[in-house]
Amino acid sequence: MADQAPHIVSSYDDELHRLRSVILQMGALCDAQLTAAIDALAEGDAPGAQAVVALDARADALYDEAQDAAIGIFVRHAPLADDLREVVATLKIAGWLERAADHAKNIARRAVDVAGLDAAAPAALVLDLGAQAKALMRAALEAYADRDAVQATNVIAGDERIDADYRRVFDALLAFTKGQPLALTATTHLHFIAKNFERIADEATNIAEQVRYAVSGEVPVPRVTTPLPVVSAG
Amino acid sequence: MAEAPEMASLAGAIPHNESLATATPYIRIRNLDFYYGDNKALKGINLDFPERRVTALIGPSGCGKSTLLRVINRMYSLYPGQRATGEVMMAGENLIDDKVDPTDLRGRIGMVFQKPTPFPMSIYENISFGIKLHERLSKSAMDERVEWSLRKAALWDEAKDRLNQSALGMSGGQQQRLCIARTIAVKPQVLLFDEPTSALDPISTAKVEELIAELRHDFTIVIVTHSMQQAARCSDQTAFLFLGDVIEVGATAQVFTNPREQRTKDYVTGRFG
Repeated sequence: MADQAPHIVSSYDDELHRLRSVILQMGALCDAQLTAAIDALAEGDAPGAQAVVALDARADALYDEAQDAAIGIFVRHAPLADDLREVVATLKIAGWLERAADHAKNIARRAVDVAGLDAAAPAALVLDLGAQAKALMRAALEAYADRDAVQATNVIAGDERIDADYRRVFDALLAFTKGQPLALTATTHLHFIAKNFERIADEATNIAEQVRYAVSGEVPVPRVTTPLPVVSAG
Repeated sequence: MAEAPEMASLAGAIPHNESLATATPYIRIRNLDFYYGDNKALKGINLDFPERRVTALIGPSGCGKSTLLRVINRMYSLYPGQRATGEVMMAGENLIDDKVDPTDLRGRIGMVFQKPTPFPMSIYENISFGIKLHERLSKSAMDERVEWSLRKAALWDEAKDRLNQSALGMSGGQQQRLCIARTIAVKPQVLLFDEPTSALDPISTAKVEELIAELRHDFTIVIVTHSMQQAARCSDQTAFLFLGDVIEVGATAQVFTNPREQRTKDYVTGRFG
């Protein structure tokens, strides 16, 4: 996206800059939380997991700050065109980053519960899914920072691969549980963790769609998701 | 309620939310140039005003918005040295053709100005004065028309008990609605509004905007405004003018959320240097 000329009212630029700055802080925090949550799962690192949980309050505070900044821009400047799309998109992105932070917190909590349980093989699959979700979120945040609609489109395409991998992880966890019924506790936690990673990838996709909307005006269309197959008992 | 039958038949014929695409052009402007002496103020304007839709003209001061309104109802012809060439077609006639009678034209195309300009006479006479220029009505028919006009302008309830009092005693917002009533009293097809609320407080502005929303069912409306929010609220179509050119015209929602032209974008976002 080409650099914009400054607004005649300089405080307008200052307020838009502040809003973007809050989102970039939220993005950096989300990335750090996700990295620490994955590490906590890989290494059974309880203090690391607790740190992720503690950071959630900071994510909530930044979300409130982003909301205040956006409302202030609406009240004082009545944004239009690119500015309107940017503020609307940023407000939505703030919401999805806050939810992604919640998912990271949930992963970290379960990582502590999984530690010590014998489920190393399926855990590796979940960790791989986590690495993919983290990469997708990072790509979405880069698209936001660079106002890059092409990068955003790549992120949207990447979500399908993660959805497919989530289904494979789901099947693998199910198969593992059938073979080792005593691992049910661990695989149940791992399933919830996998679902959280899949949701983080969804949030990354939502963010990318809003980046594309802000940059090009292309309105996101509802995505069609394929439901998981119904698993019969027995 | 006294209602002019032919106007009543038009009311509600087109739903408020019907899309711009379904409207037919009521005024077609083609290759319109306008000169103040040697100064070319409008340069090859091509623009359609859809029937019973509101078109907003936006742009910086001096871009030609008000000039375009003055051309449409031939007000410029009152001033020596001002001339227009090209086509402003309405109902098969080129409105800027000398053969078109300006007085008759102004009966078909009414105009409301920035500042309310009531005549120094009673409220009733403010309405009846213009009607008498175009029609000969009986006393009862005139009474009905005055009431119909004031009702259309959402002023009847406030004015009905003081019809014989001076219009100059009304508030600014009431005076502007009286001017609108006076304009529609002669039953024009087109209403031109030149910054109609720039001198009004927010409450009066809201009443005039609400009135425009009602009048759009019966009239083809063109409004010049410096308020982007007013244009966004009131209009179906928006045209951005700059230095005598139409830079962009489109559905209002598109122009204000995703303008195609960089100059439009810079103007509506306040980046115009």
